[in-house]
Amino acid sequence: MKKNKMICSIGQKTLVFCASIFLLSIFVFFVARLAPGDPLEAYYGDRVERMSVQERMRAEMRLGLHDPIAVQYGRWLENAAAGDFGISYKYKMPVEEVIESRVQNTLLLGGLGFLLIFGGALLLGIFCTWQEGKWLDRLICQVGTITCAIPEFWLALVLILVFSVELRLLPSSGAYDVGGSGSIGDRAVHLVLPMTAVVVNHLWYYAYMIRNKMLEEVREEYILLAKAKGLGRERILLVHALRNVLPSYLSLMAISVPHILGGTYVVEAVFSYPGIGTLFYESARFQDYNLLMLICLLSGAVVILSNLLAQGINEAIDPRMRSTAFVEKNQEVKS
Amino acid sequence: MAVENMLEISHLTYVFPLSGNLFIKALDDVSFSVRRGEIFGLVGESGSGKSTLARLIMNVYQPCSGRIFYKGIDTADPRAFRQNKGMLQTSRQFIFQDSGTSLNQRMKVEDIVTEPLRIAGRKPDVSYRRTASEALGQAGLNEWYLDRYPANLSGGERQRVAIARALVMEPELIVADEPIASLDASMQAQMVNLFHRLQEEREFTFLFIAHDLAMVKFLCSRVGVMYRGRLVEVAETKELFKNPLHAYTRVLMASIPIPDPRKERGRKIPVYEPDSEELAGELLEAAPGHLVRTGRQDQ
Amino acid sequence: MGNILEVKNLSVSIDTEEGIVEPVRDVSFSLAEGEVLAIVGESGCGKSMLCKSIMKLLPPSARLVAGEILVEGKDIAGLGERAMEKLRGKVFSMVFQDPGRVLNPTMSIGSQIAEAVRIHAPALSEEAVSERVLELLNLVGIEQGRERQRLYPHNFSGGMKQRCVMAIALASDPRVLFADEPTTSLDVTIQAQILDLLSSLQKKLRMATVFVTHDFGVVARVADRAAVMYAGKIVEIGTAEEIFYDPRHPYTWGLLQSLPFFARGKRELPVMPGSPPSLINPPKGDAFACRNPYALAIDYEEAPPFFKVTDTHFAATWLLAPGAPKISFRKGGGFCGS
Repeated sequence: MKKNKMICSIGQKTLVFCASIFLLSIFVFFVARLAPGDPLEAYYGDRVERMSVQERMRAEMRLGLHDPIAVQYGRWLENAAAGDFGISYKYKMPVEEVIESRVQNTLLLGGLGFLLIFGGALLLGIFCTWQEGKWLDRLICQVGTITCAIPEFWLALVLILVFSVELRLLPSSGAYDVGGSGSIGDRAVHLVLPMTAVVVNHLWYYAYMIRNKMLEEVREEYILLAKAKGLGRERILLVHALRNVLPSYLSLMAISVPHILGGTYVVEAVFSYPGIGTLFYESARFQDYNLLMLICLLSGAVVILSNLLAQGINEAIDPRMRSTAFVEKNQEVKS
Repeated sequence: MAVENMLEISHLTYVFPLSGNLFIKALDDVSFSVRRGEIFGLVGESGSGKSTLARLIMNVYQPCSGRIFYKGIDTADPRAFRQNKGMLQTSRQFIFQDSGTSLNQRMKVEDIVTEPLRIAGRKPDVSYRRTASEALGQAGLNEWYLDRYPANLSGGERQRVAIARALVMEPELIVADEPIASLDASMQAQMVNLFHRLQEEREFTFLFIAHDLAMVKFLCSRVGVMYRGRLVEVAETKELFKNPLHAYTRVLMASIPIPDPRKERGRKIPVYEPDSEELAGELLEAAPGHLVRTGRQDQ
Repeated sequence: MGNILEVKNLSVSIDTEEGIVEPVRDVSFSLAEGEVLAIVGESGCGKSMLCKSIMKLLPPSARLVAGEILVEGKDIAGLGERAMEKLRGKVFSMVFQDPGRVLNPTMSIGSQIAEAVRIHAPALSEEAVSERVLELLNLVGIEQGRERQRLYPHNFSGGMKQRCVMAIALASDPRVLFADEPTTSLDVTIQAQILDLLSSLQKKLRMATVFVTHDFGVVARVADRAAVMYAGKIVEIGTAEEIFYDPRHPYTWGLLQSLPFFARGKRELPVMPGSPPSLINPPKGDAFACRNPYALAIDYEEAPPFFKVTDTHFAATWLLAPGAPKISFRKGGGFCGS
């Protein structure tokens, strides 16, 4: 019975996922094609300007851009179902390969940033609870609110100006130096500025949530009993209160994936960091339809999956699932 | 359907589903009736199903089986309920245990008290404010309270607001789910007197739910005792206290501590050991109007 | 001197948005070893605050304004948080009103008890700790402790949860136990079991107990002595017999009178009019004066001092002053003046 319920719930979620992706693909396809711009520019580069009208017509025919949008979409859908997402106009190779070459850079920036943000927020939040109301807590709250309100792209530009242009300490763009592709040290140096931009912008948002949740827990009555036992403040905070905060923090982590993903894309674009974000920006700008579609769908899938994951975590920690509460009291339970 | 029974409940059963194929029988074959204009007390410990019963009567839950007749209308039947919805929602009123959480913290007392009127679309004779102040007056609060918020009131005052809110609809039936359980002893006495007086003046039928017998003895004309979803004894209050037949009723009576150190110290308080045979038995009439659930051996 | 706890002129104030509240005002009492003192009063009279202020479990906005708290002759009123941590659980423990909310929902019962054992005996081995946990579970009447210690609070009923809280409170053999309305949220049938358990443990361990309640029936069952509190002050204190059979303060009269037990066969329950005053600006003079049918002119001017009735019985009412009108009290029968 319990197993059936789980299978049912997983089936339902898969259905939701597929439907969402389908709707997203229609939306992106139509919006991209209705937006002004010239897709041939991505394919032929500067040559477009020298092309005659006949040449343009022929090129458009060849790329299938002449048909009504609905027909184009049907064709795309048919190919996509077969696993063919088309070629990138700009890079002249299958879009999967283009994305594959960039995805590790984004995973490095986004994944590491994610861990830093959530680890740091947890520590900072606990520290503020510990210092509740004292000057250090108040100072961190003030500074945090300001950093939270600074737009990412602006912060990124300031970082570039200060650390690369003025001080010449750190590189301003790329994921590694030209030629020397990827010693760890080289990559790390290139990561510092984009990572700082991503982390600084998001850290306080989550740290503040932890702080408030912890302060709420600290006012619960079970803290009184823990105190009456003779436990110290450290143990009460780290063992008793934290235990009750963590489950909801976990689901918060899952639901915030898109938030941080979006932030990473913006920062990548500013730093010309060769990741999915930069690619996304370029493909939208140059009407590289096929590439744009696949990036949108992949990002969408990540967002939807993380939301479903958050939902799953929430359901798992829902107090109603702990329904054995009655069992001891009323032995009327039947099976 | 005889008119003297305001509420007639027959073979009511309600089951709460748990996870998987576990479930709890919150109410098991409960039958009793409440006469027009009486105060009926329903007593039982937590988990005995008394709150579930109150909610079933007020159509918050839909029973699994059984019937609830209110003035001859079967409110457990969705169609009959829909046909008489307006009447049922105004002539029956509910008072919750904890008015600290059941009253909207963001509404003024005046608005809380008159909200049922507005929802039912009833125009007051003079003004809403006047009606609210009259209802509050009945519940023992003056006009000063009209512009207060529930958070600024004490537990007793909030409960009086809840009573005023119920009274404003001039109900024929009031169901109160442990209305005095969260109050102090001295405040409880004030509320019991208030209920007594109001019931005498307004002549509504009153179903009073409590977890012990101390106050029920004063307020109620008849009492039903519940244990684990079953009604184990029903009788006139005087008869019940003079001659309690069910073992659980006797334990419940003996459990009330006596405020006299010489008598109370060292007094043995019996513990009720549930007897499955006795609980599985039927509710039979032991004396006129005195029903008790007995095991098969007594038959 | 057999007094394990002595409180002298204790006053506590709390800063709130509406002003300064004084939930405990000039309270003095003493507690002998192995004795049960009940503190009775309506909600908001400061009885629970009194216990929490002795253990310093008050919110940060609360302050001890004045007074001494002597534990075995040593004043702990000025001690800081670290020093208090050493005393809590070891010298005094507390059992709370709502066992459903004081247990950590995410920790097993066993580990919550073990934590209380370990904190005052850090040198104890793992086996000794788990041995002690089983012993405690057994002590508070939880059978099959070995299996049940792995359960979580939501697996237990209210009465069982209260037993667990008691096991935690008794983990380090405290000298003084504060029981803050430990049976108010329980069913009557369970109440008797918990009260009897508390009494038997208290005798077995020779623990002094402060028992906070608003139920005179409970006082009669467990208390050696009783103190009646009103508006942050103790108004009458004496042995249980003296409070029940020879009460002197009009507030005690009012409380005893409104008990349904004494009103057998009456149509209306006798009640005390009005409700307790706000503690933000306590009235001048006797705080009870405006609800007191026998208030004298002086009650509105000056707070009454304690008048001695016997060596163990004191009451703060001007009615006991020389020359005051004699008023006698009959339970359930109203007042008789003369």
